[in-house]
Amino acid sequence: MLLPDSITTTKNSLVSFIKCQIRFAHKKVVSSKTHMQDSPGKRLGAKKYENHQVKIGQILYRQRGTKWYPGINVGIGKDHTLFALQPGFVKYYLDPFHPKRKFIGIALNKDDKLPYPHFEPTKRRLGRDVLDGKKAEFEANYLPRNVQILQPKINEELNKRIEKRNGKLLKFKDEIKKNFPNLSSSLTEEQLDLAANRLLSIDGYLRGGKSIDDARFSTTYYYIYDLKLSNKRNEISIDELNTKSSNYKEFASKIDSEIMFAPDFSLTKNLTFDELSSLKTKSFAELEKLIPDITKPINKKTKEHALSIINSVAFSLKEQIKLKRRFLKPTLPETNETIGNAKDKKVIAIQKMNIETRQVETIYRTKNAFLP
Amino acid sequence: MYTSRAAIRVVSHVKPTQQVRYKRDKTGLNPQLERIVSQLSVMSAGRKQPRLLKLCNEDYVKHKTVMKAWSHYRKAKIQENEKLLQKQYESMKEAVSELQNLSPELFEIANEHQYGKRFPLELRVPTEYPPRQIWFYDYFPKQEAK
Amino acid sequence: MSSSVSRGIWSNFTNRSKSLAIKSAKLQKAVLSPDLPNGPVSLKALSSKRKYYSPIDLDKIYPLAYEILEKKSEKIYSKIEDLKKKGSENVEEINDLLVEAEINNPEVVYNSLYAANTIDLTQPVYRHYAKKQWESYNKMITMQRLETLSIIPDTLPTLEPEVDVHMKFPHNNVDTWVEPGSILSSNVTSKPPIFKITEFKESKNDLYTILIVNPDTPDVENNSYTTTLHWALKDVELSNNDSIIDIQKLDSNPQYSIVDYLPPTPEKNLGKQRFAVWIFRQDGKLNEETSKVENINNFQIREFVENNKLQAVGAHAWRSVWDLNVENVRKEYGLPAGRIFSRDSF
Repeated sequence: MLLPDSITTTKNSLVSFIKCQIRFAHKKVVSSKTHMQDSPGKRLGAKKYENHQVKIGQILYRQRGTKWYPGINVGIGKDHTLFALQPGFVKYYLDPFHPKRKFIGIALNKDDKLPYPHFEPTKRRLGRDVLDGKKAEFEANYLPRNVQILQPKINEELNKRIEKRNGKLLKFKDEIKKNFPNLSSSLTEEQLDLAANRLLSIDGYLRGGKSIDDARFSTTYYYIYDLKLSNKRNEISIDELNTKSSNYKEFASKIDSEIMFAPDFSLTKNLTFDELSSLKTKSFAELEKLIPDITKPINKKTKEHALSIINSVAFSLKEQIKLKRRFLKPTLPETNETIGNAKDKKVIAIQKMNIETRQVETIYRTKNAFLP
Repeated sequence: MYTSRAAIRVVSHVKPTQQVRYKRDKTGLNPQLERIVSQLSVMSAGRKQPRLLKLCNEDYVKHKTVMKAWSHYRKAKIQENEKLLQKQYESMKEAVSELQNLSPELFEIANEHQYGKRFPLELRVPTEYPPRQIWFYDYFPKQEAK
Repeated sequence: MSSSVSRGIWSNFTNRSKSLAIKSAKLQKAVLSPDLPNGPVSLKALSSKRKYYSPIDLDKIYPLAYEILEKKSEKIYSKIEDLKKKGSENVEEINDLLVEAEINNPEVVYNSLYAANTIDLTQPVYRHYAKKQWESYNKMITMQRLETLSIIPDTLPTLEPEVDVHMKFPHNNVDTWVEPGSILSSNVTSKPPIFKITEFKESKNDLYTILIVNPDTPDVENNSYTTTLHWALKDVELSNNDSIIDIQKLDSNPQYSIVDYLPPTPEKNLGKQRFAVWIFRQDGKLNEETSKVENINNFQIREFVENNKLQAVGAHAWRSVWDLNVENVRKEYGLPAGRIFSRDSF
């Protein structure tokens, strides 16, 4: 098959046009994403090698992330730089407790091996000097700013407390003189002070919720403890200590046999346990006789009498509240005697929720339904 | 040896919840239901749960006692069941070993692996309740190719 | 309806301790009745009492549940009887069975849940519940503090705790136990502490040694630290129902003391010092010779423990730091004025 000439020539010229490369002027517009992104080296790596001697704060290793972990006496910075916390010798080591970690530690002695044995006491360095002279004086008087600011306030509070304490002591002394003339006449001024101090201590323990026996025992124990300390300070001899402590025990039993604290923390005559319990039963019987039916209204005189019985030494604060709730109800239960009519004068209307009907009802109570 | 298969324990009192498939509606949920769904989706998971019962101390102890007794009861029942299965397995094993002693040929035949043998559709797995469709009336077994 | 649900062993106190019952009669009635005959007794406010409703049908199911558990307990008690008849000496096995027999008793459960402070620890079942309670919090806290403060291994190598140790100081009237590791002022620690040591095994007149050591005493000469012994007690007799070491006990038993109490008096600029309390169980009475401590400074606690064959069963710790009151405490105890150290370490 033959082609006409004209066709072959055009074909050749087309091929030659495609084959030859023609370069036009151009500029690369888009840059590669990772082009020109290199940064100077960050000088990472070890700054101190095995067994190098270092001071506190010297940098041991710069790194990205924790290639090396801080070991014994080594700290780590926010960019994971490891630095020395104690002067010593750098050790690179592995710890069987963290098998996947490498550690850098500081050994206090050159010959030490890290890690230190697990169950041995850790080797520690004091690293502080005892000061003397002017430096010591400055350091002794130094107080942080917040403490300096607070100091006057603290002193003020302390003085207040001391004043209060002294006031209480005076009060106890006066009370002993006034209410216990037999006892106070047998006491010297010094002993009176001692007695007041003892009462103050017992008062504190009682207010903290201790029983009277515990409070008395603690007071005696810590007084003798203080005597022992003064023996330790060589202020009194052993014999003196023994006589003084036995004297105090005698004195304490003498005071305790006379004075007791009432439930309202006032001083009263001491009562033994049996006396107290018999008084309790007696007072209770009296109270029951006085108010035989708690649903019946009582007059003011009866109320005062009942209150005086309840507030006596016989009952503890808890029992007093219980008895008041039982015998001196502020509002009596609804009985015919204490319920009035809407028409009556001198009645008090009370809105009350009836639980069964779930409605608010108005109840008219006469005056005697309430405690006078 | 027989091994207890805790996972396959069939406990008689636990009622299987049947999952029901309804025909899918292309129009989606009705607006009422949709509102409920959107409201629920806003609420946190904690509020969707029923509130914890606040019991007084006495009732809490009673509740604990009841739960304890219930767990004892269940445990006893499961153990009983397991014992039964164990017995069944042991007797099967005994029978098979006896067969092996009596006639090794029969034993071989009994234990021969049969290729392509499947669980027949006619046999249902026993369930607690009857199926939704009681009987496939139009069913006929596949004709085996001749 | 409101008769007692108990008809068997759990209402029979001829062989069982009375402490297995609920003390308050009203509460006991509420727990042992199918319903609540006097309403919910444990709820205090009248309004909440009125609002309260028991779960539906609890009154029907509860007697049945009680019966199942009680019968189970009866079986275990008969097993114990058999063991005792055989003359079994295995106390642990019997105690385990006693725990198993009572662990589901609603009264016991109630006591261990809501009267945990007053339970009778001579009963194995209560010890079991107390141990669970201890393991769930106090044991973990103690071990965490001992480890993070490096009291282990700076004083003793390690500890497998067996007893719960509570400690408080008598500086005021507030009855709170010190949390392990807390920082206490010199005023608080100026008088010896009070301990409560709770054993979870059966314990009758076991002997204990108590040491308080400070491993942070500065040793300027060697540029290091030494350990100082601050208090040492030996042959302290404790039981399950008598586990407190207080001033009454110390006063009546002066022979307990090996070394008198020395309060913490940290010197200025030395930071916090750790005070480790170690409780050891003794095999028998300590030997006079080996238990003698001549020098409380540079005290070798590991040697002391080894020489006296002590077994560490519990620990506690607090920390002290210099404060303005330290000099007063030093004067009180006749100690020389404290040294002053440089502020920065070199």
